[in-house]
Amino acid sequence: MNFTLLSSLGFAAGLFALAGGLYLLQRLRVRHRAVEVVTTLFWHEAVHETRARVLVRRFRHPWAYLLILIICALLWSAFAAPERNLQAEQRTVYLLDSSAAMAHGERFSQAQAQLIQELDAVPREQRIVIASGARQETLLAPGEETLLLESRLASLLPTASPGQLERAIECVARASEVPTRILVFGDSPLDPMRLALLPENIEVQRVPDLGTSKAPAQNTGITALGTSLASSGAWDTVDVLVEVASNQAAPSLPSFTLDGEALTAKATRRELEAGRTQYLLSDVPARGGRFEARLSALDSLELDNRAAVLLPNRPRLKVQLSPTLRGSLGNVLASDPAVTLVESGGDLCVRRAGETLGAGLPALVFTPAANQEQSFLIRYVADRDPNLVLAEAVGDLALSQIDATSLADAAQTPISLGAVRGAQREVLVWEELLGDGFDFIDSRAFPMFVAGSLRWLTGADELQAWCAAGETRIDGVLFPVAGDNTTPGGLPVAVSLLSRESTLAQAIAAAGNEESLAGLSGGASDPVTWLLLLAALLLFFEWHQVRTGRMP
Amino acid sequence: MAITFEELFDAKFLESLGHLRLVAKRVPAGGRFAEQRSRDKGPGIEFKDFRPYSSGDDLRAVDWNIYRRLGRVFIRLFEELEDLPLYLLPDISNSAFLEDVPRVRSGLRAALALASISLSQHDSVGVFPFSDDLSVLERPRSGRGRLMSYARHMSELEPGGATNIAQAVKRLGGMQLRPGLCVIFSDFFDPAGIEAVTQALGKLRHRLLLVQLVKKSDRNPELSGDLQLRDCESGEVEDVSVTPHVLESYRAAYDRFEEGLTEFARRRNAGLLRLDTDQAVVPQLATLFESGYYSV
Repeated sequence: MNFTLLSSLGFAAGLFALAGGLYLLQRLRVRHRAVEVVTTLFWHEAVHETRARVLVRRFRHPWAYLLILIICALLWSAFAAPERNLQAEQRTVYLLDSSAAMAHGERFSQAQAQLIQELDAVPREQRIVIASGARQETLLAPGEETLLLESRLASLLPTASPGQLERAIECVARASEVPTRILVFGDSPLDPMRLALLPENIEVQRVPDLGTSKAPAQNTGITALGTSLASSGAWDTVDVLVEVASNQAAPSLPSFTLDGEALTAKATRRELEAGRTQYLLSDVPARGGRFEARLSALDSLELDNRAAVLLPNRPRLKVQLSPTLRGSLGNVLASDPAVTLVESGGDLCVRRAGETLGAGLPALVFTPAANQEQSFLIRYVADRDPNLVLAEAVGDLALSQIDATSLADAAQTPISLGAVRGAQREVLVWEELLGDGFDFIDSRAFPMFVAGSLRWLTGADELQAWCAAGETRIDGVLFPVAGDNTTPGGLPVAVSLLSRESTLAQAIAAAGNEESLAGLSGGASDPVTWLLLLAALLLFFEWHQVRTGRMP
Repeated sequence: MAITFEELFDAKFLESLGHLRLVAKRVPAGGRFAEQRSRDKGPGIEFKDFRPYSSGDDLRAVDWNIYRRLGRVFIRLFEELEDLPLYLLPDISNSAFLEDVPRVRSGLRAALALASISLSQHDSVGVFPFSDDLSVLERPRSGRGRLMSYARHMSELEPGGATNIAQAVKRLGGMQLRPGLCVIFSDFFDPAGIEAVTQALGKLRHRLLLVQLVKKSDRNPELSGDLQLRDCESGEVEDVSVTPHVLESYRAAYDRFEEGLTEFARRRNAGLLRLDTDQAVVPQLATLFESGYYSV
C-alpha cells in the first residue's frame, strides 16, 4: 500500500498530529454559554456525564477517544488517497479509436463517455489511455487524474485516417512486460489472426454498447481512387479508377473535376456487387492537374465524400535526332507515341559521341567501344549510390529485356553496365551495337530500351497510381492522414481516406469477433471508497451512542 | 419590584372574585364570630343541642316548654359561626422574581384574590412571605377594608434569597396560630428536594392548599447547545450539553418532582392548583371553586 498524495512519513506524521490534537480536544473544557435558570435541580439529576473536560482533570472516556481517533484516521487515510501496490500485477490500457470510422454520428462522443465512465475501475497507477487515430497519442499517463482526461478529450476529434487499432495493440504488446489488459473503445475491426499472435500476457477486450451495432450508419463513400497508364497507349493521358461503396438504398453519384472544372472524359460505370460501384475514366489529360471525385449528398460520414489525386505531368517528348542515326533509330522514335522529333528546341537529344547536336541536353549517346569500358554507361545528376541508381535503371531502361549473352558472343567481350555521376543525365551506349554484327537493333528489346532511355532522361517521376491515408505507397512513403501533403522529396501529393472499413463501419464492425467486455468492475474496489464508507459507518455509530446517552 | 400596587389592586380583578366563597366544613373552636360553622356552641341561630341549666347561663336560652313538661330547666344550644383563619405564604425567593414574567406576579395576585374572598366573608387573613425563612407581612386580621393595605404591602415585597420551605413551615408552626387554611404560593423548587418539602409540609397542623406556580418551560425548557446553567438561588453551576437524551432525562426528573407533589397532596387531602404564570390568574383560580365554593 502506498499513498498518492502523501509520503508514508507525511501520513504517519499527520496521524500522530491528529491523535495529539484529538487528545488535547478531549481534555479541553467545552466553552459553555452561561444561562441563569430558576433551578438546576432537575438538570443535576438529568446530567451525569456532561461535565466540562479540563486539562487538570484525568483523561476520561478512552473508548470515545479511540472511536473518534479511528474515524479521523480513516478520513486522513482517505485524504492521502492510498492505492494498492500492484505495479507488478497488471496494467490496463484504454485504447480509444479515433479513426475516421468513429466520425459516424455520435459514435465518438459515446465512446468518450463510456471511456470516462469505466476509467475509475482501475487504480490510477495501473492505467493508461491511448488514442489510436492516424497515430498513437497518450491521453492519460499512469498516475494522472481522470479530470485531466476530460479536458484532453474535449479537443480530440476523429482523424481522417483508417483504423489503426491492431497496430496500436501491437505497439502496446511490444512495450508490455507485465500482464496487460487492453480495453478497446471503438468499432474498428480487429483481425483475429493478428490478435492470436499477441503474447499470452496480453488480453484484448472490446467495450460494447456504443450503439452502432443497433443502428447501422447510412453512408456512401469513395473507397478507391487510382491512376494507371492510359489503356489507349497515349503518353500524355492516364486512366482513372474511382470506386464508391455504400450501404444506402439509393447512393449518390460521384462527380469528377480536374483542377476544379468538371471533367468531360467519359466515365464507364461498373457494378461489382451490391453497394460497390467502379467508375473508369479513360484518357484523362496527364498535365499535372488535380483530379477530384466528390459525393454531394449528406450522409453519416463526411470524411469519405471527397477524394483527390495529383495526375502526372507527361507532355510529349521533343527529341532532336542526329542525322547520322536517323537510319537506325528514325523508325523507332517515330513509332513512340510519347516522342515528337524536332530539329531544334528539343528536350532530349539522340546523337553520336563527338557531335554537337543538342549540347547541354540530356542525351542518348552512341559512343565507340574504344572510348568506353562499359557497354552501357549511365550518367546521373543526384548524389546517390551508383549501384543503387544502376539497379533502378536496369528496369527503367528495359536493360533486363536485352539478350546480353548474344551481344557478348557477337562482340567477343563481356557486356557490362556502369553508372557515374555527371553534370547531365546521359545514357552512353557502344555504337558498335548498332552495327550489322549485332542483332540489337532488330531485337524486341531495342525499342523498349530506346523508349525507356528517353523517359529516364526526362527525369520524370514514376507514375504514383494512388495515395491512401495510412497505407504505404510504392515508394515506401506513408501518409497517416488524408489531405494535401508533400513527399520527402518535396513533391506535392493529395492523400485521400479511401478506407472501406471507415465508410462501411457498421458492416465491418459486425464482423469483428474479438472478445466483448460484458462489464467492468465498479469503483468499489477503490480503497478510498471503502475508507469513507467505514468512516461514515463509525460516525453513524458515534451519533447513535451520543443520542442514546452512552457517549459524552 | 415585580408588581406595582396598581397592577395588584385592580378593581376589575377584585370584582371578578365577588361570587367566590371559601367554605370550611367546620372551623376549630375559639375563633371570632363570622360566617363559618364551628365546633363551638353558643348563641347562634341554628339549633344544635340542649344541656342542663347551670348558674350563670343566659336565661334567654332556657327552653321553657321543656321546663313545663318535665319540670327541669334546660337551655338551648346553638351552633356558633366563627371565622376561618387564612394564612397566605407567597414564595418571594429569587426564582420567583427571575423570568420575564416573574412567577411572583401570579403568586401575589392569587394570594390577594384569596385574601379578598376571605376578608369579604369576615375571615381573618395573615400574610407570611417566605424564601429561606418566613417573615410576617400581615398578622391574621379581618375586615374588608384591610385589603388595600395588604395589596400595598405585597407590592413592596423584594426578592428574599433561596427557597427553604422546610424552614418556613417550621417557623409557621412555631407561631402557634389557630388552625386554619394555609395556602402556599410557590414553584416548590427547593434545593432540598421534593421529599424534604413534603416531609416538612406534612407536619403542619393547618389545612393545606398548594398553589404551584408553573410555566410551560419548566417541563420543556427551550435550551440547546453547551450551556453553563447557574442556579439563581444557590449560585450552583451545572455544565450541560443539551441533547435530546439529556432533555429526556430532564423531563423524567421533572415528572418525578410533580408526581411527588401530587402524591403528597392526595395523601394529605390537601388542595393542589397548578397555576400557569403566563396565563390569567382568575380563570385558573376559579377551577378550585366548584359552584362558586371552595370547601376545605
